[in-house]
Amino acid sequence: MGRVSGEEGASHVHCRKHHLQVIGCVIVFYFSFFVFFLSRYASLYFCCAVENQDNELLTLEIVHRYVELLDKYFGNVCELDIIFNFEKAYFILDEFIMGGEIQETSKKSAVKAIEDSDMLQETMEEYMNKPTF
Amino acid sequence: MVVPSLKLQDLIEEIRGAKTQAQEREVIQKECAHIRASFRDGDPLHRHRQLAKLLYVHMLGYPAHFGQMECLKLIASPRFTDKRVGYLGAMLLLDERQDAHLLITNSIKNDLSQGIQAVQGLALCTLSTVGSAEMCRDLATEVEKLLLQPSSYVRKKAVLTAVHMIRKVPELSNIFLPPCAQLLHERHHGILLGTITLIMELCERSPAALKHFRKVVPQLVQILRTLVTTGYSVEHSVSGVSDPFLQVQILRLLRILGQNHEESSETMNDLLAQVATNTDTSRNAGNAVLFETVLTIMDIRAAAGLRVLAVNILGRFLLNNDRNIRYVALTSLLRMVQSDHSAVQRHRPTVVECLREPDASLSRRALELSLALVNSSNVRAMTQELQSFLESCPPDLRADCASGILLAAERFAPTKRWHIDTILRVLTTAGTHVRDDAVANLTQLIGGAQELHAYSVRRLYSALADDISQQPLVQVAAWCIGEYGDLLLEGGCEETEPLQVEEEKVLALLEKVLQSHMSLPATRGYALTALMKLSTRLRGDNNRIRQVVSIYGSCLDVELQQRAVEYNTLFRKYDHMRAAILEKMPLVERGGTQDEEAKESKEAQLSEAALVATEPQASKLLDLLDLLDGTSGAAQPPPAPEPSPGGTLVHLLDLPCASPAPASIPNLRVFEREGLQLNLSFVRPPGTPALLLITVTAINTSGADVTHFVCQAAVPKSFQLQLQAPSGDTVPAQGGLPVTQLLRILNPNKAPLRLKLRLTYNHFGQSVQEIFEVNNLPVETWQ
Repeated sequence: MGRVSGEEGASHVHCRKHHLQVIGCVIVFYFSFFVFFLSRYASLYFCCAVENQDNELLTLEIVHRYVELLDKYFGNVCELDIIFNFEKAYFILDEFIMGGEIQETSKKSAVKAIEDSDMLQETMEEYMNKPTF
Repeated sequence: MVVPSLKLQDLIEEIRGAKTQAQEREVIQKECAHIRASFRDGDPLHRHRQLAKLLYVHMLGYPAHFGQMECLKLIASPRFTDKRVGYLGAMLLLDERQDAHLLITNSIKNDLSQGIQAVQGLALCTLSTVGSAEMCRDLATEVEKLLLQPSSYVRKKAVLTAVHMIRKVPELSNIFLPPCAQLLHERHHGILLGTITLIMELCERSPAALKHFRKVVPQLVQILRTLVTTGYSVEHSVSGVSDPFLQVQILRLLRILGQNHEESSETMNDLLAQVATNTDTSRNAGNAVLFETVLTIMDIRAAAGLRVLAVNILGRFLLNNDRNIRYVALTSLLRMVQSDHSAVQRHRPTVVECLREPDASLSRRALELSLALVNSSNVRAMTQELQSFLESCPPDLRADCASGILLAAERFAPTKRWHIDTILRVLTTAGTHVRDDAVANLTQLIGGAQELHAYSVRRLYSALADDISQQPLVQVAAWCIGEYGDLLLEGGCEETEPLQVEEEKVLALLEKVLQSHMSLPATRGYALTALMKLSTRLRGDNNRIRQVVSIYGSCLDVELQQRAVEYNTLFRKYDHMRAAILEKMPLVERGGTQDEEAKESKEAQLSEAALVATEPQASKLLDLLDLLDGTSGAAQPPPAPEPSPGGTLVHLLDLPCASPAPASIPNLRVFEREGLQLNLSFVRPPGTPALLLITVTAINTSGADVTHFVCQAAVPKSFQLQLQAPSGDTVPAQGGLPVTQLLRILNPNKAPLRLKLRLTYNHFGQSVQEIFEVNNLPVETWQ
């Protein structure tokens, strides 16, 4: 599986909060090696590429799980959350999928791991006090 | 003065605030200049922020290569914040193709062995995402050690890193195979999932590993069974299904292990049935598991009942509201249709329903599947459905649909008439999309179904009258009208509505085809030939036809011109042969081209006509020949006059253009009785010394008609004789139109010619039979 990317559909400045709801999922056949998936949640589009032999219906579940993780972490995620915290979106993805395979199927564990890592991020004071190399 | 660098969020705001692309570029270029300066200055405090901004810009598509070294520095930093961003940067900017890639190996190695699991996690993640083969080799043992770490978080990531390493360096399988047995006993779902993925990779790369892991099939079955029967678990349930991700992965591994292996397949039979029947299918998660189960059943050596269950599940999927589920169902059924044909047949109505899908990829798959499901018992219904689909389907599917229908019709047509109707309908609906041999096939089919000639020609005539733009249809119709024009005018065919057709209309239609700009050159050729054939089929005079033919003698198209010139000549100089040449064609061999009266088919026609004529006479010739060859001993069976195609027979069309009989042989009156006279005229074509052509002419000067007139001939054994069909069997009274018959005699040995004739006819209410030998045959006939 490749990386999942989320993009806004229209450039709105105001943040729109909404419940997670899949608007549409489409299996789009692209190359002979991959199948592309497009999932739409309001104005967010998620695109995912999988290999031929992967279970297409499960891929829809995978995308949904990722969105759920985002939702759980950010609390009612909206597009601006992802835009302004893009590195967090990557970190969350890295707790769910690694090297193209699923590593953690428990929502709770995944989110907990990120929160633990967040705790490790130093405050400004700690940061300054740590020796530079 | 140091300008404080922008925070990441502020930069993002600024970029989003840009109203045009140019403005955005400006903002980014300015910021990148700052970032570059900052990197040059080596400011350690803000490095991570600068890199984060750079990564954002990189995501938008702008160059960010100058940040590569900074990633290295950040990874090596003791601060977690730095490492987090640094590793992210490495994954985005430092893939295998970059020169600086290898430099991260050392940092990763250090981070793998120090104690903080978050850091170890970062390192493992980077390794499994961008690790090159060399890096994998270097760090394999480190990862192997981590497989035994107490922290499940680390173990889970280590297992997946091992998967990546094996993909990059298959030889590392040796290191990672032994731990698998132990890892399978894990309770942690994440580790279990990773282990199963690892085993799958190992099995795919090595048959020995596959054999080795077949031993764990019972264990896998147990794990899955526990999963399925466990109730709701907060952590892992998705829409009422326990950990569908893990279930699917186990099913995939079972598929690999059970393929082509009877024993393993048997072990998993019950479990698969259990999963197939107990999974909740109201939501997608359940359907995903069910789908994987079906795929597994299809690939292993499953019991027959299980396979039927799988097909039925797919059939249920076809009725699902969700388009994606219908899509996977159609794709899977297509794979199964060969091996489990009867099971898939049961879902035929549903499949046919799917033809009406608005979505193009769904209707395409439905079409493929429908075509695969046609058999002799459902061909009528299916063709009906496919025809209505053909009328409304998107253009890119038309060609496939048309060919599919024609192929199915060819294989399963219940009656010839149905077959002709079907092809006709396809040609009318989608004529431009059919394959080239459709025309040939249809003419072949019609030609062979003698009882349907009248029906075919009527239907084709009506179709042609409606629309002359569909070329294949026009070609077939023109050919048919040419061949069977007489049947068209006869009227009274029970199978179609009564159609009053006038000769003039028919000719006008063919001329219209000839002149239309829509007609291809090939089509014009068909039309011209058809017109020519009609000259012998229709009863009116041929002036109109002659006119058209002579006009086209100066046509620009060379093919048409040649045909027209030849036909013209036929009218002018060889009128007496026109009827014979333009007779109804016999069935052409499959595979021959159908464009014209090809020389070969003319050959076949001549020889076949002769063969037909001589066969009934063969028995009667015996007595004639006995009389002739009495001196040469016991009667031999008559030499069957072989219609040797090619070889010694002269092509009728090869006859010299000059008038026949340059050395004219006098005619001979051989018989006369009560007004009925029989004359023989002889021709020795100069090109073929062994050939003698005799035309027998019967004239009746009496007051009563001579009816049922049959003339038979016999020659000595060394000769070869062919009788053509006579022009009629009634010699009308008062010197009406004589009956002629052509005899061809081959005399390769130049032996003296002897000819015996036998006549039977009715005259004045009496039946007459006469047998006599022709005397006074001129010497020129055989010398």
